[in-house]
Amino acid sequence: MANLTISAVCNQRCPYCFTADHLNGAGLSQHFLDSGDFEARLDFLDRSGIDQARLLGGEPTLHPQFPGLIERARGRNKTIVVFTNGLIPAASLACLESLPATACSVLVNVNEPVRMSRMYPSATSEAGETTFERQCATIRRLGERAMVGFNIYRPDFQPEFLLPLIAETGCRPAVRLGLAHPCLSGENRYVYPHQYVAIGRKIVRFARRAADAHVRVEFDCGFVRCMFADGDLETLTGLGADVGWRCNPILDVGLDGQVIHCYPLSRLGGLPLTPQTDAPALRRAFESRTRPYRQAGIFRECSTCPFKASGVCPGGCLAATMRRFRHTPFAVVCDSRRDGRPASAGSPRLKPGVRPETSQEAAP
Amino acid sequence: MNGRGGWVHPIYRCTPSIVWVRDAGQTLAVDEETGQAWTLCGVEAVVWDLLTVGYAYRRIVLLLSLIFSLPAAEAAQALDSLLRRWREMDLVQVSEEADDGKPDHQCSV
Amino acid sequence: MHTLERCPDSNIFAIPILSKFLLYAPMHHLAALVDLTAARRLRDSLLTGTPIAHEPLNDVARLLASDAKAEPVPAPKQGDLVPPFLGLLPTRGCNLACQYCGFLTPQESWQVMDLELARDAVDWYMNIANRAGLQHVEIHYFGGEPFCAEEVVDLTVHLARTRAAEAGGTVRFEVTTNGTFSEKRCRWAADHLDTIVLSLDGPADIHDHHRPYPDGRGSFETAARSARILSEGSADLFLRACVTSETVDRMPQIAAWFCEHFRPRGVCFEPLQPSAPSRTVQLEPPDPWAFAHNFIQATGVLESHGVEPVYAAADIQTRRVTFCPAGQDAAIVSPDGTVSACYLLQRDWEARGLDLRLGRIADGTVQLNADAVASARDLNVHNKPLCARCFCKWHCAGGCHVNHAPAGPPDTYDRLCVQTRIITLRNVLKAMDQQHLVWEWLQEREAAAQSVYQPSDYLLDLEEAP
Repeated sequence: MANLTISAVCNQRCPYCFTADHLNGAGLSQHFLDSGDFEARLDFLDRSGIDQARLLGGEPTLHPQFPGLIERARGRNKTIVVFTNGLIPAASLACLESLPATACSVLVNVNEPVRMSRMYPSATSEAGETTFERQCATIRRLGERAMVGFNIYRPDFQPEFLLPLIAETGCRPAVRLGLAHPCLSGENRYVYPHQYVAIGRKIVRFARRAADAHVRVEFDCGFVRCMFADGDLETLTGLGADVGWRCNPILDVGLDGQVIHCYPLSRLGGLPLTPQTDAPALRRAFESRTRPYRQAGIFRECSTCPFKASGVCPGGCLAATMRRFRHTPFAVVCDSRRDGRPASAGSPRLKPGVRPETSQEAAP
Repeated sequence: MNGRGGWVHPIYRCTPSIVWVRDAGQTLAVDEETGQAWTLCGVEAVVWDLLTVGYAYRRIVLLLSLIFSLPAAEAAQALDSLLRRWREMDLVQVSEEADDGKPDHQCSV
Repeated sequence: MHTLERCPDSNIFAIPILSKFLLYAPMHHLAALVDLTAARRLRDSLLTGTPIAHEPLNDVARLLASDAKAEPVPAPKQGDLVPPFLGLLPTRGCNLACQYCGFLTPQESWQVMDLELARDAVDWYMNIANRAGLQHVEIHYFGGEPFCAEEVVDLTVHLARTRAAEAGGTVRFEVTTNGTFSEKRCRWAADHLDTIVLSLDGPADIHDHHRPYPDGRGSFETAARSARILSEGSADLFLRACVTSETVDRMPQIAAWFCEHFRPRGVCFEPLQPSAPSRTVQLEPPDPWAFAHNFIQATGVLESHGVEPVYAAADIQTRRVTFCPAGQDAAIVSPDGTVSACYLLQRDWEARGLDLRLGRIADGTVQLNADAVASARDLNVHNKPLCARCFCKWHCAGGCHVNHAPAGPPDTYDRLCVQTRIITLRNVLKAMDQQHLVWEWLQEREAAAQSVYQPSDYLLDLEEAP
């Protein structure tokens, strides 16, 4: 698996967007991938044995030559996977519609309608449709090619609105749940690990309602075993949820030809995409680079957790884990005399640690 | 001694590329440049913690003697030995400074 | 079958809620909404042993009548002193001058605990824990501001951890702090401590008014910065907000603001405890009805964010004989080596006619007074006439023995009793998925007052039909 960035432009401003470090601070000289570079990306997929062309951005469908890129990928027998916000230009949408459902998956990321007006630059289209209405229209047109995704970036999330959306639009009867993880900079909105257990309980409640509506729940990366009680995990499995505890190198290929571990870890640096590199080698390189941090996890207890030790759970999102690490400059003067006698180590009377700042401060 | 007859003291500084995290029961340190990693437990974790909070040498000796029920001399030897070992492991770097009679402190970083 | 006549300490309560009664038996883990007729039938059946024709109701009666199905009534501690936690007061000194603080002591008395004393206290506690076979121990830090004596905190954290590891056990650390420490210390706390109770009264306009530095500067910026760092860290952060008559109506707004900006593990709203300083600046405690009403609203906000609302006296998951450390065998060591059952100031105990000193640590030895320990154990709800017939008794246990010690008969519920009864009622109804009834009930103020001021909640005392 590898994701190809074809656009640095987006027509939304989701507060949790994990491209914050990569696209905002990159000083990019281009906003869209040119066709020649796209061919090189396809070559990379071929030599890596990857039969999916997974396209993302920004908003990938804003690429001016989107239909052309799709045609090129299809020419290589790639299955198309597009990660989109659903606000797709007409030509791009028509192109996706023309693809057989077996060769095309469109993951439409949908946020709660009540929060959208605060998020997005233009909440209504010229036709007067709200963003949510436009997304529903897109999903309806794509039908079974489309699947909805929902990112949890607040503990008071309410995903129930997705169920009537799925029923009404005829898209795939599944919801891909994602946890909003931090970029290394921490500048995007994300959920904190200590909120995971409460979030886990809400997910189980939602999964029950989804099952009643014959909708399956799938997990994206970064979920952890301990956020679900044993009984809740049994429930999820019994409801057919695609449960998993995953964090590994995604391989996001940027516009500049640098391959990064994943967007949240873009500040870790990338590896160049050359005519010789393939996905397995890149994955091994990133795993080697990040292995020292994998001893830890998102919680203090991860390093002694039996689930982690046995390989069941990797300890949560690596970006969240790495944010726990910090550098603390210290410098200590080692007062050891030549004759080995240390300085006096008696028990001096300590002054109060912090004195009040008053104008009547006593003279020392 | 230095040329003026004063004492010369080693200064141990945290290697600039070291990042660390306190976990349950241990401290994990990683060199961001080399990828080398260390797990510090017991007295090592205590000393690392006291250093990163900003304690000066003599206070660390005192606290070690209280925590591990050691005579002060032994605590100082243990601390010195640990710092030398960390230097060999590149967890810390060392420089030297002449004693100008400054009071016990952590020097500026 | 046992009848209630033979059990003078009845733990079955009936509280009127609108047109029904809340039947509440905490020791049987039972709560039910029944009408007056059903309540009377239950009462009569329990008194006489006569079965009830209505089978489901009869099942309830049988359950309530059976001591075997009930959790034992909590009893005061007995035997050797085994503290549930070690309390440490590294110093009574503090770097703030909060307007309502009753802990303020003259600067001259700002003693900082000697490191050797701190070591001795930890060693003593760990030895007791080992002898008692405790695998898990706790150390709680109080003040003043504990981090005004940070070396004591550092020493005892590392010492306790080392000792616990040697014994194959674990240790948890909890601190109550004003959060005005350095960023470095803040990150240390997030790494090393398990529970941090940080005092943050609300947005800057409230917090700076309540909790300034001695020179008048506000402490909000630093406290808020600490809250942000701590909320992302590994420790459980609880924000504690002091509520006054001026701020009580803003509680739901404050709760939302806490959730949005800090994402704590829990939020504790505490009504102002009147003190000489608070009276001087005319800060008043909130009206209990307003406090309870707004607390319940704030709870809805907090729970929707997965944040735990804390009003400890209304915690229906806990059954206890004493609300606070005193009576639990807690041992709290002051900077001068005094071991006490309470972390409040000695002058405050004495004002209530109490002496909560248990003994002393000096020169490496600990001497406790057995009679003092026994007296502390007598501080429990069994000896509080006010609480005798209150349905909250096993959760609230009469509250703080020093700050809440009304001497009246059972129906003279005071401000703290009123808000506790309302909030506990809400919690029971929430556990039954009937929280919508709370708002309906609170709107019928007269009927609500009848419930809240009911002199006896005993089912036994349910009045006969006219």
